Amino acid sequence: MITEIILPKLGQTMEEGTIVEWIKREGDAVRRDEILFTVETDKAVMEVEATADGFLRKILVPVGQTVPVLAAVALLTPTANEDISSYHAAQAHTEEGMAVPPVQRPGVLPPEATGRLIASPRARKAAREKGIDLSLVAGTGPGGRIVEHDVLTSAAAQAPALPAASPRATPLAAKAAQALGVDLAAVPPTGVSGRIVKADVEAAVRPTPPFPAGLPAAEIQPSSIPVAGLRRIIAERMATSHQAAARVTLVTEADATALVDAREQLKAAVEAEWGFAPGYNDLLAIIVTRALLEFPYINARLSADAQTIERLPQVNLGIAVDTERGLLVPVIRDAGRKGLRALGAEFRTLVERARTGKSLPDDLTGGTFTITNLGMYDIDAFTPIINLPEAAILGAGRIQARPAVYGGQIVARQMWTLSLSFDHRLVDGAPAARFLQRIKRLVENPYLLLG
Amino acid sequence: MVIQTDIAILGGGPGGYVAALRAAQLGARVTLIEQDRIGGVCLNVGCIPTKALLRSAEVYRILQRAESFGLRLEGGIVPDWSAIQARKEVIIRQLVGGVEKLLHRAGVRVINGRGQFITPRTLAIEKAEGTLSVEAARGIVVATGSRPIQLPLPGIDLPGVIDSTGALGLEDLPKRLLIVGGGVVGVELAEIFGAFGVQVTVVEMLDRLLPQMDADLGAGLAWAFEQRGVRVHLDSRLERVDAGPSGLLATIAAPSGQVTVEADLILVAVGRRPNVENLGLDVAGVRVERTGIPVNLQMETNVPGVYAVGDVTGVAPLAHVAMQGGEVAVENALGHPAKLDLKTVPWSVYTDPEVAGVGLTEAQAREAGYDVVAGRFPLNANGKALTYGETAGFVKVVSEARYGEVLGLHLIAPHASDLIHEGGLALALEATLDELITTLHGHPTLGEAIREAALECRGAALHLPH
Repeated sequence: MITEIILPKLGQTMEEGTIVEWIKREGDAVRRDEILFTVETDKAVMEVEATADGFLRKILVPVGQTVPVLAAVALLTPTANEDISSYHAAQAHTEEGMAVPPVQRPGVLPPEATGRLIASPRARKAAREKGIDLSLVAGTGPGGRIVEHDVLTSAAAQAPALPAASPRATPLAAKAAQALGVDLAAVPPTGVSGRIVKADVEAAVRPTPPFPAGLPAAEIQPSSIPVAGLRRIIAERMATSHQAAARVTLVTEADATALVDAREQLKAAVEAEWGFAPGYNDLLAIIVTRALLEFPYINARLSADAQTIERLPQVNLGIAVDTERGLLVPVIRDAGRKGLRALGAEFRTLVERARTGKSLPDDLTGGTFTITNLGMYDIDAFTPIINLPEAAILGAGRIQARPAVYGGQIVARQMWTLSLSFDHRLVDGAPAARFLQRIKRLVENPYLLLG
Repeated sequence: MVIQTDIAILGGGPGGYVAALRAAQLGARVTLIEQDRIGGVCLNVGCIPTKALLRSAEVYRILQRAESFGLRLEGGIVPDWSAIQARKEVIIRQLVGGVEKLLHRAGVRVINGRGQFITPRTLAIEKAEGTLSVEAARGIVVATGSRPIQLPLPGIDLPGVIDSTGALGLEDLPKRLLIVGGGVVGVELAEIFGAFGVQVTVVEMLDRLLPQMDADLGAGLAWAFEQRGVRVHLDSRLERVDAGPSGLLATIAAPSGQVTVEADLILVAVGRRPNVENLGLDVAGVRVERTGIPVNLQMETNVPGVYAVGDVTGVAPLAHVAMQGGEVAVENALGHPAKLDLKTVPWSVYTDPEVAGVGLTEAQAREAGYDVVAGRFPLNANGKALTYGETAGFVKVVSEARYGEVLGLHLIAPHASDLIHEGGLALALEATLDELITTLHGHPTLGEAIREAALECRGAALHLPH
């Protein structure tokens, strides 16, 4: 018996996906729920698990190829060297419209074997007339072929046949799947007797980790790491930013001695109560948020058609975080309404979710300004790339005791280098400099934050 | 003497004895330590004896209404309290004996005595003939239960102030009984004594009876109580007890001001506290809080290999939760991963009519952020209830608007404690209103009212005028 592995619909808007990597090779034994391959959509890279036990007999869609959702991408068989000629024959025959032994499909799924729809001419005509998307119609004809009756039934139901009640899901889970546009066949069950419960459906719409954790090192050839997944997203965005933005970087040095003192006192006073010690990222976030509220032309973005500058009413502050999967930027929403404690706590929650690959869709989007801190790597000044469509990004270097002129004397002061990259299309040099100067003032005189 | 065992269990109540039976079923060597009688509070001074007395009360009430069924009783009917008590004792003896036999047949070693931790894996039991120690290779289950809370009030130690254990063993019926606490225990005892002609007054601190259940249930029961002369003081608090010339004088702070109630007996039923003392829990390093021993849904305490189940954990103090917990604890200890599911815990109160609930109350559902849709169906529109002559009651289905998810079922009805499991099953299977509605309910039955209440969530009950 041959089971088709199909490309599941992993999100409401997903229409197609590109195979990033086959985790399993042809001939490998596969257990249900084991990760078979990773697929990239327009949103993220996600893992796809096997829906049955067996052997990965044949990969139909190689790495790099893009196919529509619900296309068959591989064949699973009970034995390692199962004869699959009947499958190929069936595919060939079906195209000619002949009756063939049906191929077992997991769950109730529309037939779409190789990316091409198999539908009778009358069905196609009916679909055109009724405005029905054939890819959402489950075929009941020979070989899963869509016949006119299927189209009419689907039209009568006025709902896609896709998330129809699966025998393995609770009634509530089936309704949730329909409402959320989740394909039940792609949802790993946790309920009694392998039943899909509502929580499983809800978990399926949360993004899965964008990169397979614990990728076996041996499988990565040092000479050829594919630009895929999160790497590809970063690559495209950075290149776009570098090419599109008129980037200028301003660098200044702030005397952070008072801020360092304030932070030490704050830490001693609140760490036990807050459950965390406020760090320089937290303090800088508060300072930058304040400055952004005072200089709204920085808290802005260019519209998609580059015709309008949109000033944004609230500060959604992104803070770049280095994770095992690569650079991620959790966003603290409406930072202007948050105090140090709330902001710090939220940031830690966001970072934890990002590090463990459990970020929620809104965690990583919608920023209006970004902070990136490389101080822990002994970096002072750098030229950060703007996280488009934002207008600017602040790079924080290390805080270090350095000789400085203070009160007419050369003394050791805690110096902090701050680098502001801004998009000259939106902001001119002097206004951007004034913004950076304000940040410097707030760093040097933290009491101003009380004003 | 040292006893080597796989599973040792402290306490032979419903949590402990079920844990023992399940562990034995899984092939473990099991040692059960009980200082008093097997069966614990539930069998000896709790669920079972109250239900035995309640059944006598129920039969008596029905006979009193015999004429309404077209039956004329000639010569009258006289409740014999001591015979009622004797019947209760027979039932207890039969059940306790049955459990003892089951334990024996399962090969569980039962030690009579008081066990204490001396290490996280070892219990010591002081016996007249010397100290026994029990070494448990796989796990120890603490199932020591709870006891009634005593109120620290002036006069609370006067003779005549009793707890539920005392009330169940009374040799004579009082004329006037004041019950402090309108929770499950308080209202069931009010039911028993009220049925046999005792003048009962219930004092509840919160704004309704059965405060842990759906608000409509407490209100419905208060109404039923008032109908037959049980007085209910809500938002009221006992302040002190004094000995008066012709009985006890209870001073109660009520919304209307201070009220004095005279009673022959005052029953305090304001809750139970966990039995965590003198068990050596500190020696084993087991964390104890005011509410009991904290556990996770695997019934694990903070010490690996030490489990706690039932009332001693402070989680839903119900015998059936203790039993399920006992199974879960030993299954985990013996390498069969299991989890307690609190979603389907039924709460049943055996008053007349019975009260039961499962899942979220309407208020809890709103608190949880659901867009709540509740449907109610009154029993006076149900044919079976009419034939029973029991039409005071209703069924309430709590659902939400998005998917029609069934969130809770609450009812006041004859056999509510049996009907409630349709709601439990709906919750366990994640049913929506559609499944409750499309399930064919027989006619005439009380269960039809559940379907009608589900329909009423959509304003579509068939047997209600709209």
